[in-house]
Amino acid sequence: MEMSKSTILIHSADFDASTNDVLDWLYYNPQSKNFNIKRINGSIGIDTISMYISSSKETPASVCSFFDPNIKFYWYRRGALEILAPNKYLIYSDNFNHVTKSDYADYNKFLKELVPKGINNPRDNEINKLKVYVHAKQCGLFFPDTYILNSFSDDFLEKLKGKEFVVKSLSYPSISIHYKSFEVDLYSSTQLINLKDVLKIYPKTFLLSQFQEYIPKKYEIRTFYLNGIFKSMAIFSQQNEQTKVDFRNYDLERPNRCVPYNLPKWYETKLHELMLSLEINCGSIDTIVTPDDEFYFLEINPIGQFQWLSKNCNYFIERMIADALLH
Amino acid sequence: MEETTPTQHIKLHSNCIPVKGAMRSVICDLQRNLYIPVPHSLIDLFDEDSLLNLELLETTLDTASLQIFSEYLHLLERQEFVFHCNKLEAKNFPTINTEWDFPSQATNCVIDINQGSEHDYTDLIQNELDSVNCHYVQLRSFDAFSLSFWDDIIKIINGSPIRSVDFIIMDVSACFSHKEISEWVYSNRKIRCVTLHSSSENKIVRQQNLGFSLVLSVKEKINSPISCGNIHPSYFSINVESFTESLAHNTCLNRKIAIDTEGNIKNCPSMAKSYGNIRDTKLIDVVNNADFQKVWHIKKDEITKCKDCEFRHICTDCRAYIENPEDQYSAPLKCGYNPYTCQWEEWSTNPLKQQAIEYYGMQALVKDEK
Repeated sequence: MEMSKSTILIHSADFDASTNDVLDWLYYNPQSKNFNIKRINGSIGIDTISMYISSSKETPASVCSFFDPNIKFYWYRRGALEILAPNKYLIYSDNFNHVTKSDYADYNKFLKELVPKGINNPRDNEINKLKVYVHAKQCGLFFPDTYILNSFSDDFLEKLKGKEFVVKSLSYPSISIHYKSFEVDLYSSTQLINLKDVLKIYPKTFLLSQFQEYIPKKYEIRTFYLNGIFKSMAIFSQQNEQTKVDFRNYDLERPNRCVPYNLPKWYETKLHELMLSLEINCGSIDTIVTPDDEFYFLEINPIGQFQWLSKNCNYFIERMIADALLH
Repeated sequence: MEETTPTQHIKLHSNCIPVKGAMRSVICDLQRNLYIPVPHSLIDLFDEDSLLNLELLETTLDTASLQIFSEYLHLLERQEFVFHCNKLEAKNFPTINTEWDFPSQATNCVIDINQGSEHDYTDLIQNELDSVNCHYVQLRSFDAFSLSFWDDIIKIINGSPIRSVDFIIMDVSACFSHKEISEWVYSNRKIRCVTLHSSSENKIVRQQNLGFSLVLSVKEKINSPISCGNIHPSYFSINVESFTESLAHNTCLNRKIAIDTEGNIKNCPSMAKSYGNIRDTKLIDVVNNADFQKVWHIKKDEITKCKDCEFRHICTDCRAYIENPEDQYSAPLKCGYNPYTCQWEEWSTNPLKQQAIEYYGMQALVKDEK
């Protein structure tokens, strides 16, 4: 009967091709007939909710208009999840609005602890690079010296004397600014900087940015991680001047050579430990292999692109995700 | 930290795969979609892990051979088919997974149309093709139809899970102008290519954009399925998906479904055997029929001539028109390549093929081509 079927909920965005690909594998699998498959694109606003905890219960729970108890599996891919304030309260005053917003923010955060189990969680987006490195250090991983700055400290200037650094945006590499009647999207790729560049700006302040010691590469590794399984690809970006610092400066005529790669077991073990400690069960991990065969952990992107990795290496990652959704 | 050994080896990238033919090999670059013919002797220098020890080579090859090798090494490096590495790190680079799989019971469908066809396009697209998760459709018409006829069909496709569609339609100025068809293609973004046949000239009517929205006109008259099945380098498909598919399956018929002008469900419109009519037969039942699936598994490695051809894993195939109609493993009739001489010749004038040409009633077609 339709009523008793459990639901697989996919939270994504319009035009997310990888979600379409996974859905193809889901529908192709005869087991999918036993589930209601539901996809929601964009932000999920929850209108009615009650969160509760009781001394007789082990963990808090919620009853909410959105997450019905039939949801067996929740795949978070894109979009926000937040509790809506009823419209009638929002019109009174900015002051009131402000109060509710901060109250709501706390419980919106808590709500993410209560969502159904699955792949990823909206809170994975709130990941902070420094926090990740703190955990990475505990797991014994090497990573480049990293500064988060909005002005150049003396300490940083001193450091810059002997080394090359790259600068990149904190998280999302593009910002929209309004200029006259235009909306301009600025995309910033990773750039090498030296002391001369810095002195042009010094001592002004700027948008909080990430400065990282430049690590020479033999090749870069992009890894897709899901519940302890690693699918890695080597990107030979060093042969091409255009992609040397940031492979996203794609050379479409002559794409970087991308081939299947197996990370050494000791390194996978450390990454697995890191993912467990961050409680992130799926994501894309970037690594640099230096000319001396050292492994530098760069970053985790919890909702990264995996289509090109899957295609180039013939990994069938989309099928893997579909199988995980169906168990 | 492990001691690093000098990078005295080169290793073939796992997506640059050598395929040996009777006389020579080709390296198929499945990432950059190209191939380069090389002598067997070059490929034989690599071991089973695709590794070649450069230092060792210098002691084993004579000066003349080393000179030739250095030219080939330059080619391999320029194409980035190889990378320099030590034996230890080479172990981290596995061979590419050669599995082929696709989330559709039928990956592609050819629908033939003429004035007499009575296809129910709504049912066919919304129910039947959806039931086999078909992503790709080719509609081929032998007679003239108005643009509004095609527009009705594309509207159904636009609202379906079908990802892309190709049209092969007759170019008749009374039905539509090239400007009208171009605009129509532009506003229907699932259209990959429209080929206008029986046209006054061969030309590109509209340039492609990211692999879609191409409009071509060709002088060739396509008034029956008999013009299909040509084997030519321009049809080569050099990518992971086609390569892996060809290792285990037929590169034309695997998971293909065809509906001829009368609604008969077949492996290919050019083949005689029908597995029922769409009026009363479900596509999913045909696709699941073991007999229907038999031709899906005729591999290039089993086909006469193809199995000795260096292009076998990047080439298309044709099982409808073959050199010996009695032997389903015989070579495609419309292939003019000779892997024993490495020459492309005109297939239609080959004396050994005349009997089959007569068998399929292709004499007129062959004359037209000349």
